[in-house]
Amino acid sequence: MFLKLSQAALATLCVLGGFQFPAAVAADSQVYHFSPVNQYGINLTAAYWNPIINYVTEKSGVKLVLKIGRTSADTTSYVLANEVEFVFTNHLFSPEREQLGWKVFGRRDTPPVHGQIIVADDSPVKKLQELTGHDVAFPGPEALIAYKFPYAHLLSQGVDVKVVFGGNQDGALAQLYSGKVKAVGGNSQLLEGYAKRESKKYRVLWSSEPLYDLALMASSNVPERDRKAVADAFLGMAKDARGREVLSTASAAVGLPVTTAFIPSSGTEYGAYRKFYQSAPTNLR
Amino acid sequence: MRVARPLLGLLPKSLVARVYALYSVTLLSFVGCGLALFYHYQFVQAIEDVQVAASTLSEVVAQTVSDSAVIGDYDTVKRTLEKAMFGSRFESAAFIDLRGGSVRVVRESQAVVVPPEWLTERIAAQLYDVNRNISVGGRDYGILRLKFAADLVAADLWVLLRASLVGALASMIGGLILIRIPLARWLGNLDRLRQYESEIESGTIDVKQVLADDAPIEIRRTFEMFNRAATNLQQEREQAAVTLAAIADGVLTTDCDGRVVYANPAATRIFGESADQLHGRDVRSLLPVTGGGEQERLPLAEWNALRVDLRTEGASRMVLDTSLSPIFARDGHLAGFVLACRDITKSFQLEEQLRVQLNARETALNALRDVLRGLLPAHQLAGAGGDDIEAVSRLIGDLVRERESSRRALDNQKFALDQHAIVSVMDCAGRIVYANDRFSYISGYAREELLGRDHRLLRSGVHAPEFYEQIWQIITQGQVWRGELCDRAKNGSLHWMRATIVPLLGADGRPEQYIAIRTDITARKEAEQALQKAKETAELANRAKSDFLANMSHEIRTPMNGIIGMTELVLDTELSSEQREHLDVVKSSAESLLTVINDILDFSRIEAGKLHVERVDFDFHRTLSDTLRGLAISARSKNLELLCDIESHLPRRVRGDPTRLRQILVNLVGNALKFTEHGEVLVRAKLLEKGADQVVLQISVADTGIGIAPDKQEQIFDAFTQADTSTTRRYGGTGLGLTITRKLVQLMGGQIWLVSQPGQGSTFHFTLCLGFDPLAVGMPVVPVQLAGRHVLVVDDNAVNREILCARLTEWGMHPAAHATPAAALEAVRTGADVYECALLDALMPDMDGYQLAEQLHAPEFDGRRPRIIVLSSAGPVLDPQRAAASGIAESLTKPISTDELLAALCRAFAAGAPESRAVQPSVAVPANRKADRALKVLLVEDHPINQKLAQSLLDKWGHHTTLAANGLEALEAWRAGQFDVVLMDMQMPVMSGIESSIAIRDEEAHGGRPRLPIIAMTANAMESDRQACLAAGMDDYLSKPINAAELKARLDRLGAAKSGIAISNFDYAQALASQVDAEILEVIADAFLDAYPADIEQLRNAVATRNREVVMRSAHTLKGILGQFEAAPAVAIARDIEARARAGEIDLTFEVDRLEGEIERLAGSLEPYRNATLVHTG
Repeated sequence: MFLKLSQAALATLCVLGGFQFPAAVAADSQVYHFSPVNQYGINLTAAYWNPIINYVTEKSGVKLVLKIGRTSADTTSYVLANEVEFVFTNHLFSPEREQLGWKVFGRRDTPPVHGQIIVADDSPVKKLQELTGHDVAFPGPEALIAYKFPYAHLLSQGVDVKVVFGGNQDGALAQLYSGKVKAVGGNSQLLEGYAKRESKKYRVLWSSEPLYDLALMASSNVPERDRKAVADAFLGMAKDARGREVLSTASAAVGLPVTTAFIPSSGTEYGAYRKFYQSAPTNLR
Repeated sequence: MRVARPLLGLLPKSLVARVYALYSVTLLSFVGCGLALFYHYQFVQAIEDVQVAASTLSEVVAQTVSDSAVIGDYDTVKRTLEKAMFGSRFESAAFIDLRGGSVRVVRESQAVVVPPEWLTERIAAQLYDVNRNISVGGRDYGILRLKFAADLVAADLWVLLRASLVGALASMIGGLILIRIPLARWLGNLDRLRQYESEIESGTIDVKQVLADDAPIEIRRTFEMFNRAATNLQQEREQAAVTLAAIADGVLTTDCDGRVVYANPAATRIFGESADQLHGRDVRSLLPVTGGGEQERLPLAEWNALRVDLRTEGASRMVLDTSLSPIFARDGHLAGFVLACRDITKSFQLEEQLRVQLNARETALNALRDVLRGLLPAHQLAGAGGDDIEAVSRLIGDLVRERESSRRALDNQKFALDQHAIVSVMDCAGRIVYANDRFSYISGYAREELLGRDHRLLRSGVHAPEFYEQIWQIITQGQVWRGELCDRAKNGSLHWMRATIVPLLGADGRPEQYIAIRTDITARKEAEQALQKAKETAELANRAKSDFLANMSHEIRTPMNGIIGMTELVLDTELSSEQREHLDVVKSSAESLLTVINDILDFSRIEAGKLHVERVDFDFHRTLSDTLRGLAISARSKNLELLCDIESHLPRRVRGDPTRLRQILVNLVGNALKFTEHGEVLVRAKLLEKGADQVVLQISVADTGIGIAPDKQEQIFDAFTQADTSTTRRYGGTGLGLTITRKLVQLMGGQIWLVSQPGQGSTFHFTLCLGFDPLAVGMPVVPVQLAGRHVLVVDDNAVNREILCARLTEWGMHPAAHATPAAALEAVRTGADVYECALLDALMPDMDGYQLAEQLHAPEFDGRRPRIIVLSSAGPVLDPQRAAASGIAESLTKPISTDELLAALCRAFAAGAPESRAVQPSVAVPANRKADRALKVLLVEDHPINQKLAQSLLDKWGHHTTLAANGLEALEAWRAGQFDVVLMDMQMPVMSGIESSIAIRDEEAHGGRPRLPIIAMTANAMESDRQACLAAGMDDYLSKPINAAELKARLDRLGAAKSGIAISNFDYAQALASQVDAEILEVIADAFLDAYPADIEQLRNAVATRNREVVMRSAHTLKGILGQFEAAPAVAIARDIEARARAGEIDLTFEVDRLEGEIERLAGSLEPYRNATLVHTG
């Protein structure tokens, strides 16, 4: 009761004083959760996304809260449990998950990414066949580019490896350079970023066809107005000086090109992903 | 360190406490760190354990839940979750389907031990929910979510940590107690040392008594060291006390205010007070100073060393040397002073006495040094050691000895000088202040008469006053005068003196006195005067002799001129054979006489040193061949071969005196011909050295005559000497020829020598040093190819064969030499080579050259017949018809020059076929031929004979002559009339030819009259005479006796110039460009440029050999070629030469020169059209 009275008094004072709260915040106090795939480890992923989410919140007037899962499975579980409204993922292009009603409104504009199988630069392994019977690390069972694409290829080549999940890409790579696994399946963009940050060298044994980077998606539960506001804020970052600065700083932190930005997408670019689900082994769908 | 400094204040004072505290802190640190590490490890391990367990559990549960979820059996799902929760470390487990429905199981049990909240929160922060997608066949059914129970995990960890902490604390306390007891016992020894301070100071400490039995070894050694130091200190203290009591110097020690605290026995003696009395006194009050008291005000710190004079009233004087030294405590503070006093009263007084004495001596020495400084040079003083009395004394001694020695030397020198010279000294005013005995003796004045008198007393009057003024000026400037002067003695006699007057300079550098030293040279002077007089007399006589000789020469040559000239004139007239024979004898005798006169004249020039040689450019080859050609007549008359061998690579154009070279050759070859009855005379010229612009040639004249005995070979070069008197009687001659020749050779930079063997002949060699132009053309360029041609040489004379073959080989030809005609015929008949040319000697035994030529003309030699050139050294002139019939192309007269031979070969091969060519005999110059143009000649000659001779010649040549008997008449005649030329004698009465010529040239210059050619004619054959003629403005020079042909040639040349065929300013280039067809130019220009030097040479040779036919033909050919180039002036000259040669005139050298000049101008304009290469031979 007291709270309601206080809010009413404050609104009256603002009108009398000609002062207004930011329109979006004042109009709607709905909080949305944004869950990106944990690509770099929790801390670095948070360091990348927090400034961006803050900027988008401020710019769009739609309150977004970052919700990072420890693994890629966590992010997917948040989606399945309807605990998040916005995601940055490529896990939702299977025929079944596309029926969940999530829509692509943008994507990160980076050079094409590849699913790759790599070994350390000084590794004696020269061919995929030499990995037979050895441990190979992947970020997690939900990682499409980093796990499903490479592992499907290994299966198609008849290379039977022992799969080890590192939780995320950095975890998998840490196992490679500590000698626990012989090779790593990964996303080329994340592999390059890691090598750049940690001054490591690796050798690529296999590389998939070029793929688009992950997509910005919104749940069908989000009202169109909020979805559009959030989408405009993401997609307009590159046109705004502060937005560019936020993107530049965030990209530099994870080893991406500082000019990386978000651009509009209708989801049609992800045909390669959808095609994968049509031909992939059942246990990888 | 700065941070740790505040902590230092917390340090315990006791060593035992410090060590114990250090140990405690260290132990605490180790236990703390161990506990921390243990906690961290257990924490990480606990997190990892539960995560691994959760992953395993989630997979197991997910599998069961998946099956149940697919069929929608949520009860089974719940039971599965409950089972999984049992005994696990999860707070809850849930299955959430895609519609949001969930099955959740929560833990019911609580932790037995409650962990601290911070630990629970820290673990919770590390444990995330475990999410697992429940997917089957690619379809999602929901998610499995496990939530950790952080309090359970924390409780387990907390129990472990508590137990560890208790164990660590117990261990630490035990350790601290254990270390405390031995530490206090061992280090406590050091503290106990304080009780034995007095024993340490006295050095009597007992280490065993002080130390505990189990004291550590380091502490035991420290105690022993203290004990030794104390013992040493006590010993030193006792030694110091004994020393202070024993020394004679007083020693006082004071406190820091200067009050006495100790005085040794010596100090009590010095100050006359006991140690007790001195104790407490201020040391400055013990050392008062008479009338001063400076020390009392002097700070003690500045009193280092001081001499104190205790001069107190009523007491004896005492002088002390004192020194005050500060004593510093260990902490650096001033603790007191030590004053040392030494009684130096006796030594001080002694020192004072010495100082007084030394000052006195130093004053004396300085005075002495000043004296020496004035007497001796600085370096000597410096080397002597100025402060050493002994050195100064030695210097004085040296000085005295030196002065004494100098004085003695001076006396000796003066004595010697007085014995030898006349010596006087004058003061600065010129008054005599000293005169030696010799002066008095010579001058005749007593010394008393001389002293104080002016030196002018001795003036002789021989010298002008300026002479004495000059001497006075020199010596007053401080300079020495040397010279000769004449003094007059008292009796009036004159004495010549060789005098030296030396100014004696004062300190200011000005003369104070003058010393004059004279030696009497009157006798020498008289001898010199006599000698000079004799020399002048001799020179006068010599001049008279030379003048006599010159006059005699002139006087003899003038009538000889008349005799020879007139004889020639008469010989040109119709005479009977007897008359002609007699006149020939007259002419021959006159010429011999002239030769004798010329020899005598040359000899007289040598004697007078007036024989000079010229340095002019001339053609060496031509000069040599021309000279020999003139001598060939003599050779022919004796049937001798006169041969010439000039190496073809010798320079042609050289610089020297051609006239004198000719004279040398005429003499040597003339001698050779004279003394040879059979055989040959060979003249060879070869190159000895060749420099940049100078060559040394060696010329040899070899004969096969009588030879000269070795003992006579040197004498023959002496004047008036022949091998023996019988020679003179037999062969005649003045005996001066070789003397003159040797002198001429020497003047030309060479030397002459003889190689001879009696009965076999003689060879005279001489060398010449001649200049040459290295750029001048050597051998002429020939227009035909000689190289490779085969030539037959037939001559019975081996030397001639050798010479010819050498030349032919040099030109690249292949000569085959044969000594007999028979061998030659056989060679032509059967030889493999076809001879294109044959050089045949005219005179050979058995068969002469002409007969051989006829043989070769026989039909059997058709096709192998060579072109024939006959070489004739003597004999009859060949009939042209016979020559043609014999196929003789040309006949050359020996000696044959290289140029002649080359020209003949060129002609022979240029003719194209060995057809016969008419051989023309030499034609004598028609000296009586009229000139083409009559000239107006002003003949200036004083001698009637010469007047008659010259006028006769001029009249004969058709010139108009005006006679003038001297220079003045000539001048007047010239002013009055118009003349073409003046023939001017040099020596004439009234006005000489030189004066007259100068006057004419002067008036020409001022009067605007045209320049008139003046040709000098004189018997004065000296080179200086010729130079004088040219200097006076004369144009040419002819020596008497007049050579009629030479005079005619000069006049003809003038006539030709007057006829208008002189060299014009014709523009050949313009004529070529505008009038000549370009194609013709291209075709013939090159060939002409290559061939014309040979053509000109051929023409010149023909003129020299008086071959009119060749002159005509060459001139004609050149005329035609030159016409092709529209070269009008050159065509005119060539036409003139041809016409004059056809008319019988052969002396055309001048015209050939002019033609050559014009052709060279034409050649310069033709050069741009040249486009072919030259063909060289040799």
